[in-house]
Amino acid sequence: MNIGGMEWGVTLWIDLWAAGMAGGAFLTAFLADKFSGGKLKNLFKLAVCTGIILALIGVALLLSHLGNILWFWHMFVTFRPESVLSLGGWILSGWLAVAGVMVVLWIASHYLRNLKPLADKATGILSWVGFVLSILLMSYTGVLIASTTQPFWSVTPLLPAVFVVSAVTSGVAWLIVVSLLVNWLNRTSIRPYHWFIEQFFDESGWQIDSSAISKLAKSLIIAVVIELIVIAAFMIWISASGSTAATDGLALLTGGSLSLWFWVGLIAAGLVAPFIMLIMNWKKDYSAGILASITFSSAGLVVLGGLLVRALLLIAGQA
Amino acid sequence: MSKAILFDLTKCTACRACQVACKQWNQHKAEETSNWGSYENPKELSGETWLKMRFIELERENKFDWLFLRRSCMHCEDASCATVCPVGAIFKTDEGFVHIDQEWCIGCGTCTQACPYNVPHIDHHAGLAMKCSACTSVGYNRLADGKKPACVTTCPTGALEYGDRDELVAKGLAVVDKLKANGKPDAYLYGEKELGGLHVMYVLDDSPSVFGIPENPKTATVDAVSKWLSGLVTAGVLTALPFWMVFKRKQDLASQSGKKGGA
Repeated sequence: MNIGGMEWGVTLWIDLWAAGMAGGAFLTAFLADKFSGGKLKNLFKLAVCTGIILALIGVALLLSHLGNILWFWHMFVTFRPESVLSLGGWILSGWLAVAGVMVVLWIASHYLRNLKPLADKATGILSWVGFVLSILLMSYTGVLIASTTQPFWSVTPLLPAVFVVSAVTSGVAWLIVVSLLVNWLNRTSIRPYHWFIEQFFDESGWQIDSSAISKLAKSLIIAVVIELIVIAAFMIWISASGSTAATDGLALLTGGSLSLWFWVGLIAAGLVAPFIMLIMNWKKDYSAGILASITFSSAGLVVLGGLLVRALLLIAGQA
Repeated sequence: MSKAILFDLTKCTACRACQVACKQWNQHKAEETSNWGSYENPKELSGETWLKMRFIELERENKFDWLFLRRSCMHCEDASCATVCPVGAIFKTDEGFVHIDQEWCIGCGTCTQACPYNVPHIDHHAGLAMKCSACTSVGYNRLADGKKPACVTTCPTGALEYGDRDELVAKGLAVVDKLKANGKPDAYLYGEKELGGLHVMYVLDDSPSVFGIPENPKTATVDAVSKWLSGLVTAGVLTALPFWMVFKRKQDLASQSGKKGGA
């Protein structure tokens, strides 16, 4: 199997992973904040700020994937709703624009206190727009792959569902990782970090409530179960499809040259192990002491599992 | 006027003159290849090889058979490559052939994954998607000069014909009828109806599956709506569940127990 020679190779795996995770983190923080009665603004701010970094990585890799990078602007003078990549380009740009304006408003209200009520109102509206764009962003990554004639990707409509569930799972895990990291950084005396935060934000806005992290960990447990169910449904659908080419792709994953990466890397290390590590501590505070390390590791594994699921599905479809 | 190319498998001797003519007319370089156990060479289409002959070895009616098939762009009426192209660089010519505008293509490779016949390929030197244009490429446009495509012009046996599509459909069907009458019951004119009608058609003496051609090819976006719905419904319903259970439900339970405690 010549992975290096595949048209949709490593840059696209990472692009789809990073863009999906940015959308997943936004959706997670938005819903968590809304369901908590607006008490998790810090978490939401963290999701938007780090999501922008992820989305920009996605954009950079998407551009590097193009054979003719200097002509990327052709995408932005053309709108073709029937082309998923065209739609995706616009969705990703829209998402970045919304997230970018929100960050600018937060920074502006840090300097201009009078602006804060107006900025809060504007970010409130933009957060709803960003929420819708996040759903579209997560979906587009899967629909792009499914709207091809490669049987392994196109024989079932469940591939976008796998990508969406994985984006949300990775998004929750990403938020846990960065929340624990930010809380740890806040306790350190690393000057450049504190200087950076003070320049642009109120430092109190960067402390993530420990109960929020615990709730995120519990959400991750449920999300992992949903992802396992959706992956199983995807595999069953392919097995029952009667398409030889599609079942060949599945056989590569389950018993072929990719099986070790699939069963050990994705299923065991990327989903089941984090699930077990987290559910064993259901009643405890996930953000304190040694449990914080376990939570951090579990979430880190899920984030890497999100990359692996995309890599494996893309390889199996092109093998 | 809708034009087409008709390939009659029963007349082909696999001399590969069409393959060479395509290379020469489009000024494509030869590719360095290695023996992979077949007379077929190169193994696959590429940015430098827009047309190649396939050599199919198989056993039919207890006899060894060696079949030849012209492999190149099928110029679909419902062209998936044109639909999925994010910049609209792929379009149809007046004759009905599918053309990639090399001045507008960004080399994203989406068309390479959308084609049911796996035809377009990225040329990694130019960074662009490439495929047969039925000799309508800018600077190499034979049809505009009233000529036939290079592959058709060079074919020594008449296995390749170029002309009005309706006439070629009638001609192809007549050959198929003769084949059926001469003990080839599964003979078939491939491309008459597939994908809205192809502008490259094959007279086959057996069913398409024998030649490894998709029997019921589908466009890449045929069920795009169900795929968008799959993603959107999952995002909207299934993924909201964990957050509702953990954040909202707990919040409600906490406020309920607070009310009870206060009563």
